[in-house]
Amino acid sequence: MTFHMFKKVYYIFFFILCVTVLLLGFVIPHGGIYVIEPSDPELPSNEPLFYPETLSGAFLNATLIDEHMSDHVIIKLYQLRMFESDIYVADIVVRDPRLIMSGLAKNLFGGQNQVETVSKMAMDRNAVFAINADYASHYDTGIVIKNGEILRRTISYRYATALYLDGRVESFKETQTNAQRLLFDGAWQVFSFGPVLVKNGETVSSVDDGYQRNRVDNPRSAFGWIEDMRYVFVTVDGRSSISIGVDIEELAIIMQSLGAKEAYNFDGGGSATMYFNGRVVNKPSQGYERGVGDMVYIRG
Amino acid sequence: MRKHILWYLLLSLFLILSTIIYEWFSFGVTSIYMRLSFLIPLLGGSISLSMLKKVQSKTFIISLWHMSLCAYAAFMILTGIFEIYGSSEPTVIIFLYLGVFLTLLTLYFYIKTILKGAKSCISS
Repeated sequence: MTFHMFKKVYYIFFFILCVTVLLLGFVIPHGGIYVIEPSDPELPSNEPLFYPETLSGAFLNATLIDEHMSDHVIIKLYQLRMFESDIYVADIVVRDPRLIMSGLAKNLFGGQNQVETVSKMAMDRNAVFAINADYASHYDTGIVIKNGEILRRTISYRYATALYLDGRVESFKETQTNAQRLLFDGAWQVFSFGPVLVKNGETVSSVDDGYQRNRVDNPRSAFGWIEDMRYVFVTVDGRSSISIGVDIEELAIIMQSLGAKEAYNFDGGGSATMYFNGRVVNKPSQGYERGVGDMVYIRG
Repeated sequence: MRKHILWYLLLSLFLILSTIIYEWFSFGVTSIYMRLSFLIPLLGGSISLSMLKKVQSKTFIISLWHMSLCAYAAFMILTGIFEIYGSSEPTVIIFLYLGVFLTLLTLYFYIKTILKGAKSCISS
């Protein structure tokens, strides 16, 4: 084989390799481990659930647009406007944190391009509420616990947040603990995406954290803990003239103004999706729902 | 020589423009890998030019070097694309390995050519 021919073969092989890598990275679903989700726990329903009679903070400027009530969960959906953006707030009171479930696309954790829309995953599970979550399989590292099961033990340098069986939520640096210890301490869900938005009632996120995506106005999703058994999930629309989106500091202010003692950033951008009572309530920035790797949902 | 310089500059400019356009469509998210990818043809091209003088008859060495630059550039650009997307793809590392292998191959033939040339000078 002459060198000239070798060069031709090399560049053809090179082109095929580039196309293959792009297809593997963006198109072809592959990999992942199958995970079985538990069913809702059996709970006594003799005690009524209470939703606060008076609301404060950003709730005062919010409009109630939908609600759902059952023996074990109360969900109130609000819409408000801050930072030139439309914000959807699901204010949730549950009898037990185990009702806040994690759902995985195609019931697979890990792999590449294993995605489904939030609405499809929600409908498959008869969920009354769902929101895109941390897309934990997007990264190669980070502690992941879903529905009380360890799915990944590899520690990252990020901050994670845990929802515990006693109802509290706590954010922590992953290097200070490990998956087994978290499970032992009663962690029900551990999310690894970040950053932490609110800690002990104070905003802690910064646009100067070195992550470009946190500095830019974007659609966002977030999770917050207001008090025992009361949580708030937020989706902010963005990338449009009507709703420009928020940066990470503005998102923290929103969560703080809703009364969150702890709040954590979920995946955003085109993935930011909130589903309630059979429909997608926000306006995904691409004009249609993007497939995501996982979600948080409540059957109600 | 002039043709080579023009090509390297045009490629560098092309990569700079591509990066700007890609970041424009990425809603402000950037990647240092993509931003520095223009250095591959710029610095790699400078090395090519200095090699060109010494291995003029052995153009295959320059071709090998260009092949390795291609691999490095692909590594930088693809890593940048995945970084902007917020993900990673393990197979991208193949381009880096390819680049290093071809660089070593280039170095081997380059040094061999230089030594051969030096021996001929001494014997004459």
